[in-house]
Amino acid sequence: MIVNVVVTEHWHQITAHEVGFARDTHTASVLRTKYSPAWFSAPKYWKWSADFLSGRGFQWYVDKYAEVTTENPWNDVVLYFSRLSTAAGSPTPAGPLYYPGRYPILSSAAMAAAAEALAGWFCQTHYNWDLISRPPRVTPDLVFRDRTSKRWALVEVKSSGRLGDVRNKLTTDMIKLLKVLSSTKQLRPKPYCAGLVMVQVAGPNNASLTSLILEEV
Amino acid sequence: MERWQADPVDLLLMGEVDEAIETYLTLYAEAVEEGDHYIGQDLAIQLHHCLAAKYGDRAPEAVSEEVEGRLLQELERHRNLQYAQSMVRDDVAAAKEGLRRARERAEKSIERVEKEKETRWKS
Repeated sequence: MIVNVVVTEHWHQITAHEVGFARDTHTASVLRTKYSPAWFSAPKYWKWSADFLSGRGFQWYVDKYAEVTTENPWNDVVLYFSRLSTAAGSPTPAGPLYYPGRYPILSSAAMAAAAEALAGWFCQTHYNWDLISRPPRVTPDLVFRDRTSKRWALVEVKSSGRLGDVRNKLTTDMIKLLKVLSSTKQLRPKPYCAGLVMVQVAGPNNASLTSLILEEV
Repeated sequence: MERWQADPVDLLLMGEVDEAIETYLTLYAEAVEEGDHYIGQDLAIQLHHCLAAKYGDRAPEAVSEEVEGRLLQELERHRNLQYAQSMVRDDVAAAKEGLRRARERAEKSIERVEKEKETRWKS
């Protein structure tokens, strides 16, 4: 199965001053209004045909990256959109235990797991990052290490069933991640990367992926 | 786009536990060498998972002593490394706490589903 992913990639360098300005709501407001627009100033757009049957298969990435225990979460996404179109009156065959007019609810756990798997797969193959850890119950979601530069990257993954402009959401969540980065400054001499990857599920074979990577300098 | 090279989590998933352990020990020594005291806890957590997987019959929290021993042994091998034993103990203690909370969360996940059902009934 191929899922067509529209990728929007943002990569920007960030100073210690900006990282430190994530410290509280007042400085974060300055960070948002004065500095964050530059984070999105040079987007790159491209399309990724994610072949779920290639290599070790999509379930490998689900087992590797998803927090929730699940099997074939993308099947739940496909099922949702199939039943949604049937409920809306499209002439598709109904499955067992299903009748016309029953509006389906998208499984948020399945969507989140699928998004985490896609996001991790993306970081691994596009940025050439090794997954080192999935910290339990704390931020970030994922800890990667760049194979070439040996730089550590702390990544948060977000998911949504809606399409639309995600820059506001990415900025808000990036500021939270920068606060974590700022609090670790005493423990590390070398610069890290902070990453937000947002996956929006658009349909049974379509998704949008937006990445925002801020590289400390 | 597909370029596949196993990272330490892949090694764990593949059952190549000894290789995963060696990778994490090396990463820990490199972090100490670079003066990075942030990442040690995450590496220690992964070592708990590796050793628990190696034995197959223990919870990750139960192998803390061995994790500490292996980390100290690894740092000793790198003769010129400056480190404090207390730093290793702190990383292992923090890792054990993280695992304890993860276990609690896993055990409460069923309770949480039941509560969500009750909330729907009330509304």
